[in-house]
Amino acid sequence: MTPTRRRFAGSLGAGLLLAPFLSFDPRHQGGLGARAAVAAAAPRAKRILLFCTMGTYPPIWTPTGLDGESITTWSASTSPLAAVKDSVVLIEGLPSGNPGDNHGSPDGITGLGFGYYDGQLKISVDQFVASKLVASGVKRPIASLLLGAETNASGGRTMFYGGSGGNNLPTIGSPLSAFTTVFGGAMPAGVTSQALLQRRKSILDLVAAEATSLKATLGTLEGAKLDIHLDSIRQLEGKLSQAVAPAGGCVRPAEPPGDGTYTYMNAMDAIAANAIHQDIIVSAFACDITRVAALEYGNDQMLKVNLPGRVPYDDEHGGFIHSGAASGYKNLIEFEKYLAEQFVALIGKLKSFQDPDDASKTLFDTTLLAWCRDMGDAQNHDQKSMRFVLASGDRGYLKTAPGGRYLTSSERHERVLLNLCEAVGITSYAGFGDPGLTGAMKQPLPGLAAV
Amino acid sequence: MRRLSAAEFAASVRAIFNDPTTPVTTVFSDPSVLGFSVDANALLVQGLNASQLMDNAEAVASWAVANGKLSQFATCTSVDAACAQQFIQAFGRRAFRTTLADSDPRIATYGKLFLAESSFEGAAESVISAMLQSPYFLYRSERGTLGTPGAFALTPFEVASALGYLLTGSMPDDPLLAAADAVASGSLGLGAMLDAQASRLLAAESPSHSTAILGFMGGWLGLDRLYTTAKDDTVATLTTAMRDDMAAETRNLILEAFDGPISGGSAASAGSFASLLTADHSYLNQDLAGYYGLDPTGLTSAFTRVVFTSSTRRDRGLLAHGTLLNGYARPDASSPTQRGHLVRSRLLCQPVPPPPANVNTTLQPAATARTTRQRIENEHSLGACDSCHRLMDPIGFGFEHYDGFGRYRDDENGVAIDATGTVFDTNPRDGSPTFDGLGGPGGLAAYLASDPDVNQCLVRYWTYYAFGSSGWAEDACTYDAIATEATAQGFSLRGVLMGILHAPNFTTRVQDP
Repeated sequence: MTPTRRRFAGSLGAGLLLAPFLSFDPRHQGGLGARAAVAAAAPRAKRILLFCTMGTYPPIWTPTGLDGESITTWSASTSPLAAVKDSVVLIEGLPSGNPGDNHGSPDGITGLGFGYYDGQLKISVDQFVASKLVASGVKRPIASLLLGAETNASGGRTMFYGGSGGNNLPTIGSPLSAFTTVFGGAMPAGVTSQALLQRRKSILDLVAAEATSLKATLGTLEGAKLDIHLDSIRQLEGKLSQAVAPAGGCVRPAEPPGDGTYTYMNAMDAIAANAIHQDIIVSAFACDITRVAALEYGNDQMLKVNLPGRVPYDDEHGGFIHSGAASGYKNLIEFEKYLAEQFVALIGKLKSFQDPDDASKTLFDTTLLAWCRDMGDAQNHDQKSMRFVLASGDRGYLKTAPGGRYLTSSERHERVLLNLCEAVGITSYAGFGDPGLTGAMKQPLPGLAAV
Repeated sequence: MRRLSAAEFAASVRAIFNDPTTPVTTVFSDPSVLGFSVDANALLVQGLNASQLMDNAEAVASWAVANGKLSQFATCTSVDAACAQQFIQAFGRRAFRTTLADSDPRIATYGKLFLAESSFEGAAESVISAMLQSPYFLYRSERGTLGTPGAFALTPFEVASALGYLLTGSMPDDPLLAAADAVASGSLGLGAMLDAQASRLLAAESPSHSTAILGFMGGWLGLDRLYTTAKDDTVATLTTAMRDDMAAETRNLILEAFDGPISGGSAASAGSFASLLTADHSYLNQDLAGYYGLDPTGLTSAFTRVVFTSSTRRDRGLLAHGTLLNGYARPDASSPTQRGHLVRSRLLCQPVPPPPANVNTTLQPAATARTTRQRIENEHSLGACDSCHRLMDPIGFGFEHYDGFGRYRDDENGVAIDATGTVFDTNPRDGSPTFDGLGGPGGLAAYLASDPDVNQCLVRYWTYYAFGSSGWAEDACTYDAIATEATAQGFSLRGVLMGILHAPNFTTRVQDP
């Protein structure tokens, strides 16, 4: 999907209401630069973008040539990253706190496994960052944007957790629904923007009152469902209340077609749909509609790989992992290369937009990308060695190297998640991750950030 | 409270307007639990759902105005209290699946929205948008009214909703709502409503009658895996058209069992799941018969009931359908493990844990292994793998006359197929039954057809599908009630379903903590 490059500044009528943009001015919006309560020092990133996929087979991922921390020869599966080598850091070796949790572990971006943590609710780093930003006054129409098609296929779950119940969070799979959620739907005929806004608020008041009233008639377990529902309504109320002028670099992508366009074998073609989601996320950033976004390919059980012309047959990823040895993991490498290309493409798109409130910077310069996985070694179904690809732009959060930087660490992988928090200025990590980690262990991994 | 599933949500919006072209945007991404997207605790309105619901509701409301859909809900077109009440009661009856009495406070609540608008169209649009975002629309109410301590009797409309969604996948239709009205007024008993409406909705001529059985069977047996399981086109081509043919074969056989006895089964098992396992016939067309390697003479593009004989080189019954054989296979080959897992977990209700972490699960075929069976035996019979794989692989070997594409074979790489197997008892391990392939009196299908555990397992899964709850340990009384009625009906599929409708849980809710 190609951005239309149509700027909203010229059509503020419906856009004012239906695309609830919020101009970002740290001088009077409690912007990141002014958030003393969140950050002791000016953060290097304004937003984070998680690129989530399944685990891989480590030997095909690790760089094959190194000069100290500099990558001299990329592995075949990560070779597309060479195109952005001066912006990326590869890190692996980090164990999770629950390295034997297998498929479905929530540990990947929560720092918590299947176990019980004295009642601490699971929250993934995207939700933690989003909540901290909101609490510090950095409020955008959408606190966090979770996208990804077919993330519920075959009984799978996403990598995202949070909300009042610490429950697994869904992604928006439909590109059209994602688009309308971010940019608003068509304007109803015969109603003004202000009248529609008033109608919406009246309806939400009514719906919230109904949910509250119903909850009072239910037991604790059933009532909890309506608490979660009410939280969703409050998110929408916040979105509607922040409808102001669009940011300077705001470009609305073309409206995607209906879901039927992506149908493949009685389901949505996740590969095709996620390509659209990437455009939506970047435009949402450019319009400053959200500061936190994530895109997930597949789920914690499977990913339908449909890449005709690149891999000879479809697979559910598991086949590429568990049956790949005979071919030297040829198909897995090809698919990992595709994912790396998408990661690079995201960087390219972020570079093509200016930061919403700083024309001297690109979106990429003020964004931290993290390629996260649910397992370290997908072949062995373990989390012994978690791995990330991190990327940031000019004067961004990361310390990079001209040829690409590679690190290994035996520290808990949760510490890299804390780096994501630190990047946007969060320095208090209470409520996130393993409560058993304290002191220096509960700090971002040193050496990742630029000094 | 049980949120409508994504499918129920879409079907309900369309049913409200009685128009299948009603534009519905995908809002929910439902988690799948035990193969179904019905879990009452997992279906939530969360995150950005409220925003998506608003967008969808506004789009549908605009569509309704633009396409002349308002007249079915009101004869008036004015913006006044009388017209508001007429519209709200008519639309609310369908959206909320209940009759809104004149005294219902929701008439006043929605009336404020209606009267805040300057035109009838705007007023209707506002009410439609609101009702499609309302919890009364989004959730199936199971609140009931307090009867005996801790037990709530569901209202006639709540029972009607449960019946409608279970049997048709959608909201109760007009006759069902009318029956609920009759029960509410005291002119009809709740049990009579259930039986009469179930009989109507399950009649073969009912357009939705297949939903009840196929909705359950699809999730229980994972029939959709036929379409979602990847296939290696470099080994063989399984076209979408052929997948459709296989799906039709399975659908026809299941519906025949549901709608009436299958010939060839014993009288006691007629119309039962056991009769599906041992059916002496199938439904084939020319293309599917050709694909299966059967004589297509006399067949056309239409599906025809074909009786298998002793010379038919294909096993009888559901287990030999391309639907299951393709869905439970690797992209390039058969999978005794997956097929055995289907039988063990789905038909016998004996869950098998996933492979433990730290185990190298890469298939490393021995140089001497020439068949799938040899490879599996070589890999899984050793060490810790055997403790779980012995529960699956020896069952899956019974399917080895069928390759990963569902085609019959006598040999693999020149080695004669060995389709003998064992259903090892989980505890103890001795005395386990052995079998020789799928079909015949000593085959796996015959063994399963005679195993009462399969019927009990069917009840457990169908109960979960009906109630959206997996609290199996607490539901023993429900299972017993259903099994008792089903047994009296020869465990016919229809008898099991009616047992579910007659179970206390269908009309009563126990107070949650």
